Amino acid sequence: MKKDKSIFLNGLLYENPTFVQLLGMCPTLAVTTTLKNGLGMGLSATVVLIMSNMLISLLRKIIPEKVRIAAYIVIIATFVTIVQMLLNAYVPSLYSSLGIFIPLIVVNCIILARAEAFASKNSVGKSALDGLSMGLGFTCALCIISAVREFIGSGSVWGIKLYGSVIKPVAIIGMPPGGFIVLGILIASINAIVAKRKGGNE
Amino acid sequence: MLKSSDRTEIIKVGAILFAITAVAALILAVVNSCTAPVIAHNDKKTQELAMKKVLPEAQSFDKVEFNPEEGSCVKEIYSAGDAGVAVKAAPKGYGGEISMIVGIDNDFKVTGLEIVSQSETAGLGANCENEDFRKQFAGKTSGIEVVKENAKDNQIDAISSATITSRAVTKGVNEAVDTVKQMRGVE
Amino acid sequence: MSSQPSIISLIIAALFTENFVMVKFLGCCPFLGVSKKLDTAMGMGMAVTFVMAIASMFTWAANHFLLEKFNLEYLQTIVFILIIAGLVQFVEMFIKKAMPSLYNALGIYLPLITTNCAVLAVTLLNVQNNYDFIHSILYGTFAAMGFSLSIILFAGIREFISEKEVPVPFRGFPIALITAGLMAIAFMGFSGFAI
Repeated sequence: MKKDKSIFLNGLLYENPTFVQLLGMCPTLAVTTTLKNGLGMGLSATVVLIMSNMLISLLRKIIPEKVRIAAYIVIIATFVTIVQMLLNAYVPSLYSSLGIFIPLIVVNCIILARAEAFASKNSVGKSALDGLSMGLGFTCALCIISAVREFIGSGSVWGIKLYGSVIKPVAIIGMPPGGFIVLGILIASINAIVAKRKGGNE
Repeated sequence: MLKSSDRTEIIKVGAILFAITAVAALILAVVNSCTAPVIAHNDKKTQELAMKKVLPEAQSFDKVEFNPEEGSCVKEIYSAGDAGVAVKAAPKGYGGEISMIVGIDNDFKVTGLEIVSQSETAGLGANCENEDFRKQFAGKTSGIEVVKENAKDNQIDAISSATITSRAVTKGVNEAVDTVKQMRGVE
Repeated sequence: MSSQPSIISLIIAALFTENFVMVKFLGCCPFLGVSKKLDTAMGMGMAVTFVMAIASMFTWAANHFLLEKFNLEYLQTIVFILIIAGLVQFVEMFIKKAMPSLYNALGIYLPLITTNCAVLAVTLLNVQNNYDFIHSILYGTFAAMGFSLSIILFAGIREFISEKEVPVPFRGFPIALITAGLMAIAFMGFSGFAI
């Protein structure tokens, strides 16, 4: 039996969906232009992840093996649409800046991967915890990337201007190429830190 | 022929999938009926707020019918009597449509510009929401040109590194003024 | 009916100025996942093009004849993804029976396409942009070709890099991402280019 704590740390650190498993790259790269967007996307995906993990776990004995993927997709799409409607109604500014990437949470590989790999085999409580930890891992990753990109790309964090009058922000970091390059350098840094730790232990 | 056990299996699987989908559709219908009025109300409120900002003296806004030109980005026109008209336009920017409200007085001069929603690049095109950029349009009329710096008469300074967005917004303003001119029969 | 862009400008936009991977960040998972070898990248490109063209057609029909008629636009996401999942399964079975050689070439990529966000995105964008039937199919096809173009170019570069000495922490994914970043800079050169 897996301890709850290890499930929680798993998603947050050891199997971080973004930095370790490299899942869900599209939203990771596309919406991380500002910290607000990154956090908004991360939390939306987390909500969908927890809800779909719970429901799939609850229905895991009813859903027939053959059509399970289709059933998962329907369940995920339902929650995504609900989140989309709620965002549109109550946080319209976030809704318009995330745009098409809200409905695209449906095809975020993290969610389907957790449904298939975890929720379909574990209890409701554990699945909810797994959804929470994976979701938070994803959110943290998005926040780190978006904070770096917003700081370098537009000279601000959370919309608050930090510099910009003297040194001009490097606009390209906020644009598509910057997304790829920042993520590449972040993963390389993590690799380097992990390698150093391992080397130190031996 | 399928064995009868196979057939019941298929029917069972199909029924379960159908049930899940039906429940999903039902839930969505309920959520939609709750959020749709809120969304419509919000949209109306933001739009009204924007119209009030560009034409502060206006008492009321009445929607005016007009014939949109082929390819024009002008969506709606609201008359505010003596104060002028408010035009809703949605030119295509770098990251999609930029929804905006242009206030125009009865001499066809721009009174103000409000961006309702946009999905331009943060730190670049998204700066079209900044007042520094928007206030340049006030007092100008159609035929506005975008220049990199030192704008004169009917020109505006582009947002640095965001020429596409600046041009799109300018196009929206120009077309808004032209459409109103045409509607009033002035060329 | 709102105005439709000219076919040439639509094609140029789908291929270059609004390239799905390089500019819009759609379809990044397969772009980064199946681009280690040139021939697999080509296979993926072909399979995606095939599915995206057909999906554009079917989702347009579903949206136009069902959802819009009954004011059910809020079901778009769920209906479109089901259509795509069904289509992918159907295409897989059809190709397996009718064209075994093509199936051997594409087979393993087909199931992956359901979760390729480029496919769902193109169907949603068709609706968002109010494209008519012809424009939807053209947009679907050429956006997929733009995807293929970038994944094939990328795979070519990655094959080349894999033989080079890369600093250890950058090996594998990080250098691939940075390569993609440099490619995206090249694609930025197309921005603002319109006919």
